Order: sequence, then structure tokens, then C-alpha cells
Amino acid sequence: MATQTLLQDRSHRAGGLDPRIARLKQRYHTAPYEICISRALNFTRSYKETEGMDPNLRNAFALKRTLENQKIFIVPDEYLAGSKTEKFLAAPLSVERGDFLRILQLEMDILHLKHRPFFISDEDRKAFQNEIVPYWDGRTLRDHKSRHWDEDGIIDIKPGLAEHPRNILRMIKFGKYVGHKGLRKIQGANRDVPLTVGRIKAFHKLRHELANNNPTPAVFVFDVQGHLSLGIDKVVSGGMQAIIDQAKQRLKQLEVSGDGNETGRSFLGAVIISLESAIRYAGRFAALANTMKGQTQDEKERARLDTITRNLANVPANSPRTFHEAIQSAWFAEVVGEIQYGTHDVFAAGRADQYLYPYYRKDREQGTLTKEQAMALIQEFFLKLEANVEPIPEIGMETNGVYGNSQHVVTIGGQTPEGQDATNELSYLILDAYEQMKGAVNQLAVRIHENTPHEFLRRTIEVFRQANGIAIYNDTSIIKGLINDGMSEEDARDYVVVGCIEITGQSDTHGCVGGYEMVLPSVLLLTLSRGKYPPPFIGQMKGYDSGDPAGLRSFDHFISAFRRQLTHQLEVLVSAAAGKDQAYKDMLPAPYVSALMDDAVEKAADITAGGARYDFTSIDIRGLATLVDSIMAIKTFVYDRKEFTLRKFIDICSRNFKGNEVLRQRIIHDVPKYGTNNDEADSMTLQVLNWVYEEALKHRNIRGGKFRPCYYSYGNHVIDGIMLGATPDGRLSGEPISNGVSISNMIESASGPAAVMASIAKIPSYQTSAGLSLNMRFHPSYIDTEQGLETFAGMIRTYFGLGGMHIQPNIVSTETLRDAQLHPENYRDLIVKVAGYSAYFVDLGRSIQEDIINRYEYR
Amino acid sequence: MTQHIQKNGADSLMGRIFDIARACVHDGPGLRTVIYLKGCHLDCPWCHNMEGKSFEQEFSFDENRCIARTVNHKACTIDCPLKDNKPAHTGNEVYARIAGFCPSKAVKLAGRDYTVGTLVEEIMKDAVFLKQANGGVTFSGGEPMAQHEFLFACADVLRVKGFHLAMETSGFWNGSLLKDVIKRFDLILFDLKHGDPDKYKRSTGADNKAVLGNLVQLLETNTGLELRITLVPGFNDSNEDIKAITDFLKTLRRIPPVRLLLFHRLAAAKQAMFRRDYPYAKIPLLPAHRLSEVALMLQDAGIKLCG
Repeated sequence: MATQTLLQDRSHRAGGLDPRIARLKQRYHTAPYEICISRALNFTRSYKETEGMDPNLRNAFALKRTLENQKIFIVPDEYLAGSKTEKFLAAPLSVERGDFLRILQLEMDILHLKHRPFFISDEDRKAFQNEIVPYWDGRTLRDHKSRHWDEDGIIDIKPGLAEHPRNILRMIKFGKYVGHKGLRKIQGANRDVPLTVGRIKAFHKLRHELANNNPTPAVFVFDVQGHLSLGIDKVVSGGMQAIIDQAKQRLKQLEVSGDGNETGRSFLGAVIISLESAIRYAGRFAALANTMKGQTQDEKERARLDTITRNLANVPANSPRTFHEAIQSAWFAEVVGEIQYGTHDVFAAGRADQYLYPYYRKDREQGTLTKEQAMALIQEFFLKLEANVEPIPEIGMETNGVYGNSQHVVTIGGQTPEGQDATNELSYLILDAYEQMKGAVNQLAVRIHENTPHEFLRRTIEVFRQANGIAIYNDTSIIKGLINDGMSEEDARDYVVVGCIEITGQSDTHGCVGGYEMVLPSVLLLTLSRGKYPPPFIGQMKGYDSGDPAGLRSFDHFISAFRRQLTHQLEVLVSAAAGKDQAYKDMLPAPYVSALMDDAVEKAADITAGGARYDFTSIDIRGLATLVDSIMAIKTFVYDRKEFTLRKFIDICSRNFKGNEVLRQRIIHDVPKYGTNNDEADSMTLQVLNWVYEEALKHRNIRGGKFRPCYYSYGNHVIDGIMLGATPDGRLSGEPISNGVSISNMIESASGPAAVMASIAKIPSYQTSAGLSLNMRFHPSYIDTEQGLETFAGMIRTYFGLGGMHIQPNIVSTETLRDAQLHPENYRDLIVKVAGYSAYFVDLGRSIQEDIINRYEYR
Repeated sequence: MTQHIQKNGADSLMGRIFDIARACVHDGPGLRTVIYLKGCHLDCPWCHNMEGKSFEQEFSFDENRCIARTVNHKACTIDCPLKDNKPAHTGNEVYARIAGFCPSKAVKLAGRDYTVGTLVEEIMKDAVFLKQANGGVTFSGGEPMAQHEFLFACADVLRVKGFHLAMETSGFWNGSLLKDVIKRFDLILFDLKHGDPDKYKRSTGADNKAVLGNLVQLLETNTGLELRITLVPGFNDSNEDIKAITDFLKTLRRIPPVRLLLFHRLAAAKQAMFRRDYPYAKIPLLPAHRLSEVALMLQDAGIKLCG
């Protein structure tokens, strides 16, 4: 069996990390973070010149200008050429979207004070302030979006009224609600940033900005779109020239038949301009490599540069001739995508083990490629995919990492569109590559189905010994969900993972899986306060009153009120999404990305105008466990045991359980809990999921696509928590809400990991088809033996057999254990192996903890 | 010994259990639920389950959970004697009372009595997971054989349900029970401790004749067997001790695989919780490389190690 020979052949892993890759990694990881304004400046100048033109063409011309003018470079050790900005490590700034323009406007003065400082030259700073900002002020996507929202009565932005007495009152109320600690955290995690008058003013402005992303305390609709599977596979297999030819042919058809509108023709024109610019951009690198070759006598260096020249003379325009060309083509498609989209694109890199495999196999068969060479190229690809930095605002620093923030997930394993096992030699090699470089912040998604070789799952788990960061997906549940969403079976089987854990079709889906979000515990608190708490910010409308809690005489009444509030919040989300999506369609289409997407050229429509084969909007829903536990607490104490009234419970929460610690402990210990395989809590969970699903199903986005619920959080559950008062589950004000579909941090999961998995597996995948995330942490000793690997694989198989969709095990480090000692409340679910038995780390005494830490440090 | 086992027909057979650990991976193959039965007739001073020794019910008190201590004195509005009393000066019957109402579960009962039915019900919650990868249920302790009637009754029910069953035992039990053991358990994790009878007796208070006899008998059967030796400083860690162990092993008809474990002091943290001294609290630990040295010695003697 092929697998068998693969396993015996481990020689390519024996030599350790290729020194070239080690140097490159070092270079990326130690490079200064910079702000490069090249893209922003080229886009600004181009947009200035193209006022009044079709938005598709405007975008294409801006891209063309950037690709023509931006300074390029090739660094030592690099084999995959293609740079995104003029700096080694910087983000291509997307000022036209609005968010990053605003962030830089507000935080330009503290960039150097950030945890990892961002550098910008004085000259660039001036150009940014004098040329870029003045043009975009009022013209960005956010400005369009906000105007739509304002017109539709979703928010009430009156810039002149910033210091209006009502707003001052709101600020005071909000400040009181989140408290001093909360304010400090919102202002930023960075204690080095002094609270100067300038900062307070900037913070003030930011507060005014909040409503532009956050129309109610429970709903977020951010400027960001992106978050899709970029058609890298298409570029690799057919080359960009093929797409250009198709667009030209389609354009001719439209002109001959007279069909189609002006926009469609402009779109096709924009596709052609974008792709031709991309090919010419590749040509610039080929030429640069050739020039550099002429300047060196070093034979090895000349050979390297020669390879780059040869590769880029062929790809991404044409089909690759070698594995090396294929991976170069993939990287180049990604680079241009990132430049076109700009900051925080979150483009998935797709099923790399599938689209690269034919080239790998051919080269291996012909003996022109060693496994070591292939592995090093994969590693370089990984390094580049993760090497992106974003100037994240201070408010986001509590929860976000800067490096690799724009995730470019690689998906491996799974099935072919025909339903055969797709695991191949390259799938294993990608695991090897990942393991050898000790992981990457760029995620690796591993797809498992009934016929996945056991060895592949086992090997995946083995990689956890070296690195966390792999998430494991269950094809069976996921494909069912996608088919229910309307995908063909073949396309559903070809799904990929994007962003954190979101499920999308490979280069055929505009899934909008990022930036449309709802916070369930906020919906609950709004229900309990007649829309008054959490208090609205400046610009937000008065909260929705779903009924007086005093009148909620039965549990059913309470649930009805909650559902009314949920319905309202979802309606706001849908209208806000419409405003944003309309703004995208009107002013910021993405012809380059669309060109790589199935059907868009055929339909002669940009993805923002419904050009993709499949179109959805995901709603990222957060705090499921916190909500379910809260509902269970209300049910238990108010309606079942009738210990006190709902009114009283609300009072207790609003005073942050002060003077009621005993009750809080009883809630934590005595109420049926989410994720403990408790039938009552599980059935409540399923009801909540069903309400959300049914509510979402009532709506369509402006392109006619379905709204799909998705349960995960990328870290924002911490910020949600900061802004949220105490909840009835006993969670104190300011504490994080639960993440994804994971259990609440307060639960002492004596019922064990199997109970968690059994509970979560009950969630029907068609109601969460856009994805969910189950985070579970395990101690490394769980998998340190061969038997442990088998057991872990068995556990995952069982969970998947029950219908689970996803799991991301975390095998923790000493550092985490240390942190757990300092903040045990955040690590309630951390399982440790004590000696012969397992225990929850925080349940153990201090000296045991010390002992375990010391013991394992030697391993 | 069996005053805790009231025999009024199999249904009402009770067993005393001080802990149930779920999803364990180091007590037999696969994922396992480990049942810790309370009470043991040996008295090893290093035992890391100090609450497993006595057959009586005991109560642990975790100060880190007591809100009167961690939040503030007034946070606990319940009239609880522990707020003012020193934990050590509080009697068992008072703890029993507190365990009934303590909202943060700072006081916990070690030694709950289960019927066969309720215990099996607990185990069944994780059944699908336990049946993967040859996983199952491991009975540990204390000494599970000290409550053998309950143990056998549970095992009978679980066998029918198709679980792989393992037992961690000191081997200190009446040899006449051997038949009952081998027909119920797939794997015996046998704690060898020492080869030298004098040393064994000095530390555990018991004669190891029965223990070794049971081991010899077990080797005659097909039941899976794994010997476990925990290297305890000053008891069985010297080269002479290891030699005594290997010498004994060589007298056996066949040598089962041996798992070496390193003594740890984790039970020290339980001193405060159970208001009791742990004589090994400050014993210097053996360095990790000692384990490798001993492993080499055993391997040189032709003994197969697992793990």
C-alpha cells in the first residue's frame, strides 16, 4: 500500500530543518513591522484620476498602477518570489475600505509605542496625512456603509453632535457600565501608551466610530469582506492567461449579442486588466532576478536567480511545468490577491495537497525533485502565507496577535469531488513540513472522512507533539450541511476552510464568512433590561424593548421575549449587512478575486454583485455556552424553584453579584450546564440553535444568498466580555464570554472531555454549516506514547461518528500552565496528566502544579 | 473487612468510591474511566492516594474554593463553622454537614457509596468513547480487591456491556479469588513494589508471600498482565533493590512487560486538604535520568519494558 511505503520512508525528515528555511524563518520573525503606503498612494492617485468611471474598472486601474509602480525586491534564500509591499514585512494598506484608514488616522502618533512597534518614515507619514486621508475622507466603503445605515435608521450619526449633551450622558453611562478596568482595556492592552490629551481625544473619536461597525450592542457588521477561498487552484492548473482568454471571449459574445449591461462589460474589462497586470508584475520579478544574476559571481546564487527567472517567465500566466512552478504560481496568485484586496484579506490558500499534487507526482516520477526540496518549498510557502502584519487598533490588542492575523488556511486530506479518498503523498509531506518547522500561525486544516487512512489521522495527531494549530474537520457532517445549503455534491466535497474555522467552497463561494457577527449574551441582557443594557454608544439607536421582565410570568413568556429580541437583533444585522453589501457592490468590487472564482466570468458579474457560483452570508454567533447556562440559571432559580423573581435576578446581575457570592457559587455548581452531556442543558442548546437557524433562514442577502449561522470567535469573545455586564450564569462583569461552541470557562468539567464531545456532537451540522469551533486543551502526555496516539485518534473518530464537525485540540505548554496558575479562572478546562491519572490543572494544589511544571519542562 | 458492603442481594450491593476519573489514557489501553475504590490493607507511606487508604468516609477541604477565604469573610453568607474554625480542628461530622450546603463545593466527600447500578450508569455516560481503541474501565484504589464482591458484581455487568476491563492492584488478596479475577478482567496492572520480602513488609506492613503467589498464579493464565514498579526513593531505588527485583523476576515462568514509574510528591498537596501529614512530602525526588538507568538495568536483565 502506498501509505505503508510512505511511512517507512522518513528519511526526508531526518536531516532537520533546511538551513535556508531556518534563515528565512528567522528573517521573517525578527523583521521590523512597517507601514508601507505604496499601495495606498497608488490607489489614491488612480481613484482620483478615474472619478466617475465604472467601479470595476476603477479597481482594476488602481491595481494596475500599484503593480506597475510599486518597488519590488527578492531577498536572499527566497525561491518563491513575489512581494506584497515595498517593505519586507508590511501590510498592503487598504485605505479605501475605511477601517485601516481610520486606525492609522487615530493611532499614527502611537505606532512606535505598540507592543511590537510599527515603523513609518516621516515622508510617508506626510503623504498619508496630506494626500491619502484628504481624498478618502467621506469616500471610503465605511462612509458609504454608514450613510446607508443612517438613511435606513440603523444608526444615527450626526458628526456635529459629538458633544451633544445626550452623547455626553451616554458616555458617562457607558463608562459606569464597563467600569474603570473595562475602559482601560478598551483603550488598549498596552500600558506603555500614556493617557495623554491626544490619546483621550483619539479614543473619543474611536468611540464615535464604534457605531459604524457595531449598530447595536449585540450586532457587529465590520467593513471587512474578503474571507474566501481565492481561486489559487484555478491559477495553478490553468494559468491566468486562460482566464483572460475566457474573459475576452465572453466580452466578444456580449458585444456581438448586445446582451448584458454596461457593468458586465466593464467587469470583464476589469478582469482582463487585473490579470494582465498580475502577469506583468510577475514579469518584473523575472527581470529583476535576471538583473541580479548578472551582478553576482556566486554560482549557487546565480542558479537560484535563474530558477526564479525561468519560473516567473512561465507562471502564473500559464500552466506550470514543474512542482516548483506550481507552488510559485500559487504564491503569486495569493500575492496579487492580497495587493488587490489590501489589509486583512483572509484568503484561504485552499486544498494545496490537491492542486499541487499532479506536479509533485510528475517531478517525483521523473526524478527531478527530492522530497527534501519539495518540503522546503512547502515550508517557504507556509512562511510566506503567515508573514503578514496589520496595524491592529489598541482596542484589539487584548485578543489579537499582529503577526499572521490575516489567516491563509491550507486545507489537506478529505475527499475528491467524486467522493474518493483524496489523501495523497503530498498530504503527508505537508504534515511533515508543518511538523518540522514546529507549526505556523497559519493554520492547517485536516479533513477526515470514513475512508481516510487511519495512518493519516494518527500522523496528524502525532504532529501535535511538536506544534499546535491544526484543526480537524469531519467531512461527513460538513458535506451534509453544504448540500443542505444548496451546493452540488461534487462542490460540497471540494470544500475548504477559511479564516478561523469557517467552511466554504473551493474558489466557487462568496461566503462572506467574516465581519457579520452577533453576541448572544448581549441579546439576553437586552431582553432583561428592555433594551437599556448594555447601554448604547454614541450613534447607536435606543435599544429594542422586548417586554417588561416583570410581566414574564412563565418560562415560556421569558423565552418569547428573548426570541423577540433575537428576531429584532437579527433584523438589524440583516439590514446592516445589506447596507454594507450594497456599498461593496457600488464602490468596491474585486475583479481580480472574482476572475479566479468559478462562474463569475461566465456570468460577467463581480462576486459583490452575485457573480460567484454560491453566495452566502455567515453570521458569526458568539457566547453560546454563556447564553445557554444563563437561560438554565434563570429557568432553575426563577421558574422551577421559584427562589426569587426575574426582577430580583436582574438586580443581582446588575450589581455584579455583589453580596450574592453564595448564589453565584450555587449557579455555577448546581445548575445543569452546557457541554456536560446533560440532557436538559443540551436540549436547551438545540432549541437556541434552532431559533437562530430559523430566524436566519427567513432572510436573504442583497445577492439572494442565504444567511448561515456559524459559531466561533476569533478572540472577540474577550472584548465582548469587557463590554458586557454580569450574566445570569454567574459570569462577572468584564469577564470573557464563552468561545465558539466550547464550554464556559467557569465549568468544572468533572464530566470530562467525552461528555463535552458527546454534547457538541448533538448539534445538527446543517444548522451550523458555515462552521463551528470546539476548543479543547489536552496535556502533551495524552499523546506521548504510540498508544496515546491511537487513543486520541479513536476519541476523534468517535466524536465524528456521533456527528461532530470540528475539533481543535490544544496540547499545552509550560507557559500556559504558568499563566493558568496566575489566572485559574481562565483555565477551568485544562486537563493535566498527574501521574497515572488525569486531573484538571486548576483543581490541583499549588505544589502539585509546581511539580508538574518542573517535571515536564525536561521533556 | 466487609462491613461497608451490605449484602442484601446483588442490587443493593454497595461500593465505596473516592473518585471517578474520566478519559484517562495511562491506566490501560484506549480511553478509560478509572474507578477509585476506597480502602486498602497495605500501608505504604508514599501512597499518593492518601484518601484511598482508609475504608471510612472522609472529607476534603479546599481552601482555594472557600469563598469566605478567597473572596472575603463576608462573601459567604452561610453560617459555616469553617469560617472561624481552623480546618484541622473541625470534626468529621461537621464536615459532613458542610458538604451538604457548601455552595462552592470547597468541602467534598471522599468515599461516596454507589450501588452497582448507579456506578454502571456513571460509566455508561462515556460508553461510546470508552469502546474505541480497546478502551474501557479500570478499577483502582485504594485496593479494588478489598471490596471484591462489589468489584466483581460491577465487572459482571460491564463485561456483558462489552467493556475492556482492567484492574490496578497490589496483588495483596486471598489467592482463592484468582479464578474470579481472571474470568472478569482483561488486564491486570500489578504493582510489584519490591522483590525482597523484608523490605516489602517493613514498608507496607504486609507479607508479600500472597502477593507473589498471586503473581505466579496469574502467569499461568491468559489474562493480560503488566507489572508496575514505582521507583520510590529509599525503598526500591538502589542498585541492590533493582537487583532484588530482577532476581525475583527471573525466577518466574515468564516475565510480563514491566512499566517503570517515577515516584512523585504530588500527594503533598493533599496534606492540607485532608488535614493529615504526608511523610514523603519533603523527600528529595529522584532525577529523571535515574529512571533511564534503571530501565537499562532491567533491559540488560532481559526484561521487556512498556511505555
